[in-house]
Amino acid sequence: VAATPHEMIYRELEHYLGPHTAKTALKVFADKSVGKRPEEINRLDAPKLLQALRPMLRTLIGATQCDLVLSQLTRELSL
Amino acid sequence: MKRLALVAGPVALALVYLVAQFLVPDGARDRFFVVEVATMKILALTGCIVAASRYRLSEYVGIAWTLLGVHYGVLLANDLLFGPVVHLPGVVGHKADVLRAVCIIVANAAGGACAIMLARVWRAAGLIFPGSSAWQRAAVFLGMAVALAVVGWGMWRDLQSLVAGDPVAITAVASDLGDLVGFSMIAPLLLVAVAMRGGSLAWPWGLITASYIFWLLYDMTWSFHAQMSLREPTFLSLVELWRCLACGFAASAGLAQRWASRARTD
Repeated sequence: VAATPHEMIYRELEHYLGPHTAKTALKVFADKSVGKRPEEINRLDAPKLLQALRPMLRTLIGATQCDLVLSQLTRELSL
Repeated sequence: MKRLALVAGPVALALVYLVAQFLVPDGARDRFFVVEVATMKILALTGCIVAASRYRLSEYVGIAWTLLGVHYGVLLANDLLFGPVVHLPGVVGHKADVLRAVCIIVANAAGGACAIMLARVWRAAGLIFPGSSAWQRAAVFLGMAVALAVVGWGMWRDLQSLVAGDPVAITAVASDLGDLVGFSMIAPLLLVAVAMRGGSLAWPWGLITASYIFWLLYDMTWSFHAQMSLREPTFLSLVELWRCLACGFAASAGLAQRWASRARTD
């Protein structure tokens, strides 16, 4: 079964932030960017969510790594 | 395995130090400690450079690690250029006191700013802390109370000396303030590490917290050695053990920061 967009994004965030913070971050940024719960995010919403996550990721892992992570997610989500 | 090495490395280093200081003859102890202190600071400085080089200079976490690098780098320069045992030719007396004071003030300002930045990374990243905010506040206040208990008495004494006209006391006051700020950040740093448990970023924050805890023990030993009936040579051996661990864990934290920002490999 293919992973849903929120599962794919969660898996990437979890690597850096751990399961608890990744879950909270996804919830907060999904609400801020598209006004939805993470599990309601679809492929059309994903670009907005990824853009909303960018400043947080840039702060924590640096711009270079942030760009790599977001590019990888964009590819995986076939956006 | 790499993560285990981040913890085992500083512990092994401390064991090497313990054995080495035991083997050093009494007449060579002063020189041994000059070399040991410089080595530990070089190690911590290297860790900071390794971490900072992962980021652009204008990036938040990169700035924090650069500041910690400035802290260790300036303290190292102070020891090697203006120290009481090793110093540049002609740099003695009042001139050395002034240069030492400048170094200590700059180093502590940079170290304090780094601790605040790393502790506030949550806010800078726009994240919301998981868990109860009352517990978080309680932990922060407890940490500040411990910091005040350890540094407070010495700081009060140093402030009195400064007011009484002793210009050298400014060095001690700057150091006390830096310690107070750094130790007050232990709880917030630990909260960040706990919140990110299971993630790669928990490691740098956990290890830098360990470093600050060993600096706290270093200061506690200095502050309360009379009450603990600690005398030479045990006293100096113990404070230098804490320094070894503090610098070792700072170096490990820097390495962990670099590894943490790597991509997922599965």
